[in-house]
Amino acid sequence: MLRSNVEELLKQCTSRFVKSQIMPQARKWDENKQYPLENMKKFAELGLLGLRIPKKYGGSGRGLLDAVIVLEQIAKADASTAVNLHVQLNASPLFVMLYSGEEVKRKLLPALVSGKALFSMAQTEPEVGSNLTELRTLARVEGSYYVVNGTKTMITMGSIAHVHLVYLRFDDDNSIGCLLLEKETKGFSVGKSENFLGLRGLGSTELVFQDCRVPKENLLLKGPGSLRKMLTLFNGTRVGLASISLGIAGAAFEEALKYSKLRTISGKPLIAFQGLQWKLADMAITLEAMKHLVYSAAKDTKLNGFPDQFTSSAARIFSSEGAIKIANTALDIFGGYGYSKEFPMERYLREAKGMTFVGGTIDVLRNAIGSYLSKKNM
Amino acid sequence: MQIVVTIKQVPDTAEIRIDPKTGNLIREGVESIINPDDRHAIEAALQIREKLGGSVTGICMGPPQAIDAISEALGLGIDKGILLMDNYFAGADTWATSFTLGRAVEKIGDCDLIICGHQAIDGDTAQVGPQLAEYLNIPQITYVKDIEEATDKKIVVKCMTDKGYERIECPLPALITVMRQLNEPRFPRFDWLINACREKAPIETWNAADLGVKASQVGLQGSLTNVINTFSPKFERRGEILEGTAEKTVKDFMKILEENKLI
Amino acid sequence: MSIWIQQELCNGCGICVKICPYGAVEIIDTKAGINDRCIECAACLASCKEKAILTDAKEKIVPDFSDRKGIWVFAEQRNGALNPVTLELLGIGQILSRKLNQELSAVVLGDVVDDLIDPLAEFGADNIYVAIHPSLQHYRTIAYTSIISQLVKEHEPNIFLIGATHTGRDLAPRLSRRLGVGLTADCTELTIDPEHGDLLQTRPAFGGNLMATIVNRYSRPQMATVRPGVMQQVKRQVTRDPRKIVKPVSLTEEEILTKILEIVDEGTQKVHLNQAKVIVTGGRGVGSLEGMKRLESLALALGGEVGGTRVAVEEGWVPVDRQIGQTGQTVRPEFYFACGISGAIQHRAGILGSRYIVAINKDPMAPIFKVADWGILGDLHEVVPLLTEKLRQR
Repeated sequence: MLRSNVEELLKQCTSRFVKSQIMPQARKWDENKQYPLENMKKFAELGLLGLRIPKKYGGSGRGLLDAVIVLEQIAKADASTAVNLHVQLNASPLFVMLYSGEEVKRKLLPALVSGKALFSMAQTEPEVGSNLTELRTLARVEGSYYVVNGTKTMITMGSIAHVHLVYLRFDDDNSIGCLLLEKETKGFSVGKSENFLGLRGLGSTELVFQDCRVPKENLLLKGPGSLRKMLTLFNGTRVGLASISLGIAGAAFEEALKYSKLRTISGKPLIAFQGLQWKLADMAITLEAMKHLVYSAAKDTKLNGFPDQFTSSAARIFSSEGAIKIANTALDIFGGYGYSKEFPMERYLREAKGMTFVGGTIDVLRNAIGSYLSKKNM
Repeated sequence: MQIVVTIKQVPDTAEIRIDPKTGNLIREGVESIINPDDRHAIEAALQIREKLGGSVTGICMGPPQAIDAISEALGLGIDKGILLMDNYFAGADTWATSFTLGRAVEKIGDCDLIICGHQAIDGDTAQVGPQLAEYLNIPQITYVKDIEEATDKKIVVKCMTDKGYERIECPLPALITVMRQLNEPRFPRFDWLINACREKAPIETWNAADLGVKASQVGLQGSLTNVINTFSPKFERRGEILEGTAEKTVKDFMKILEENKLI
Repeated sequence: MSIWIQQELCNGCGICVKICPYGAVEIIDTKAGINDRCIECAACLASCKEKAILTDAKEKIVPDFSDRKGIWVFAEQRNGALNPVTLELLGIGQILSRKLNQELSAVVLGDVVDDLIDPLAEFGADNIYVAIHPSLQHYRTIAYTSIISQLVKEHEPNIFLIGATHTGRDLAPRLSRRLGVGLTADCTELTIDPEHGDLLQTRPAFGGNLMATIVNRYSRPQMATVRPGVMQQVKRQVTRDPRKIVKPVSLTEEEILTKILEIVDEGTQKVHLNQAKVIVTGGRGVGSLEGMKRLESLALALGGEVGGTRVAVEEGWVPVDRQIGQTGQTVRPEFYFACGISGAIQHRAGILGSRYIVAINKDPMAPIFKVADWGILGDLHEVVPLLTEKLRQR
């Protein structure tokens, strides 16, 4: 029976949507430090927010690979929009799918699919960064409630999300875990908003919890083994982030290649000069290697549907650093124009740089790989 | 209301470039897309269905990869897609195409309204719509830029003329060809795109035998016109500079326009 | 059925059943038989070792049309005025008529058409077929198709040309299907094949990136629509009165089906920049809103649209939806006039698909001249109004 290849179809249709609906406005959002809420509305209307949600909650029940395909295309136009979507596709809702009770799932997952419940993932703290083992946000058990106190910082969609997935420490067993905190909760407030160099459409803010009472059914993970489960989920989110770097790099490379054929120096196009050809060749090689790492990680499902830590960390480190290199060289190829806001080249570089921090700095991942190697039998 | 929309998969001509050395079309890496005018046809059909109920069937004649056009149309919300696919359909001119589409519409049966895009960006002929209408012996309205009223019995549309527009009323069944001014096409839904790729998606493929046609009636063999030569128009920039007083340069320029039959 | 199985030769081996892509061959009682799914593709013929499958199908042959004479053009009229394309069709018609030594005729339909006879003759028609009826006052597909197809069947012309106007592109395909003949759209060149005498029809495809020459060997008349504005009008000395052939008309509203409720003339219509045939764009050199007005007049004279560079948009001379270049739109008109534009790379990137680029600038070093077909070195404030005036005079 003749049917379309779903991955190829998603890629093409996303690309066309992005070119017409996102690309033309990306510069404006960046300049105004504007969170493009309309994108989430459109994604909901197009049924995209349910991509990975099981069918019985109104989603399409697809996996990480499809999310990566879509995110790469969106990141070509606007990396902030891609990160915002990534949080909805690959991060918080997966915790709900795996660790919430049925009632919470039935309440939140269909709401996410329709765009009524958007999520944040509140990990980073002002004092300890994204180091989970040292989290200071505390949940105290009080009857059928958890009482949460603490501050999170640089939380993507902090001011927009309806539901915050908060990583914290429980005072009774001193375990690291997480729970869902709804934005209407008394004692919750949104703090200062970040003024980033790039990725300016993240709607990134501080979150402040002052004696927030969270009902027990909103608990996701607590007690021994919770940290391990959270880390496994991170293996997936890392690949999502890596695909965004891949998208930025792809866009920068394509623009640079186009420009080097169009722009002439002494009557010859830039690409006729060997010095330029070598730059482009190196960019193409890096991009190809990034693609292979990201997509092989996205197809890796050996840990109950999630890739392993090494594969996913390698993909994220390599592609976020590769994207910086590619965006930087692409900017160089444009010369002074590359430095001008009239062209998107400087934005790609700012975005690429930002991707080394979003979701935890990549140096922490190097630590993880280092410790993995030191334990590995030769 | 039973609506049929004709869909063509075309190379994205906006992406087509000419090889500066050989003057040939560079088709490599050029994406195949739903013909832009056909998107407006699909949108029109969906809007009418949303008002009046019924169903929208998309028919597309093309090679196996044209399945992507059908899948995307299902993503947009059509109820059913039919791919007319047969090696013998290849190389059809508008005569053979309108015949093949006509047989498909007859096989679908009981259709109130057929909506076609004004023209395809690869051929630019705008002939298949009217020829299909004639084959089916139903009235046609071309250059439609607005649908004022659609009921089960009739439609009232605005169609463009060289000077402005006409408001036309037409009983159903009828065929209309639509312009891009008509509407703003939606984008395909991701969940529906995914469904369109599943085995049980509402897609059928029909070959020549399914349509009950003979090999000699369709495709290249069934065509009445033949392309005997193709060539790329020369696109070299001439780089002529006209100097002197404004009177002189304008006079020289007018002469150039006249000599090159450009006005 | 033009493919069948000689039963006595068939050994029931079943190879043809496997070969047939359509499931049109079945074994019934040890012999093969062909069912109604057969499309006569003849794929099975070679597969039969017993040579039991036979056909009377013949190669497609080119019929002899040497008895078909006459070149016809459709004389499109609106409220008693001829569409200019009619005279252009007569112009090319005269050339074809001399080449083939066949008469040139015009077909005109309407409610009152008497005033059109003389101009049609003056521009080349030897014969004029006339159909007059109140129902023909305004063009309607079914009415016109019905009358013209009757005329064609009665008089059997060799060539039939129709202008590729809105009306022509509605009528021609309908008519061709009714007559059972091929049709080529939107031709820009028509010549006669010196060998066979066929009409060679050349037209652009792929948005003008490719030209194709098409021939119509299997049916007559050879029908083509012709792009307006391409062929030359040619006046001639009328030596005798044109032959006027009046076609009696009987038409009822019931058979025409469509009803025109209202006709609205809008004059020129604004089109999207990416559809415009002519675009006049201003840059920094335009200097002011008044400067831009001059470009608008030029655009009007050319039947085109106005655009602007980023500077012109930022200065407020041109609305933002008309910005052309890297951060604006990419355009591919037939004619692009760059006025007072230096031609920075971000602007050039958006216009390279244009068929012809004309640059008007007073700086001889402006990079725009490098991508222009014609560069007019001078002050646009002098050149543009002068050019507009000259174009208007034509």
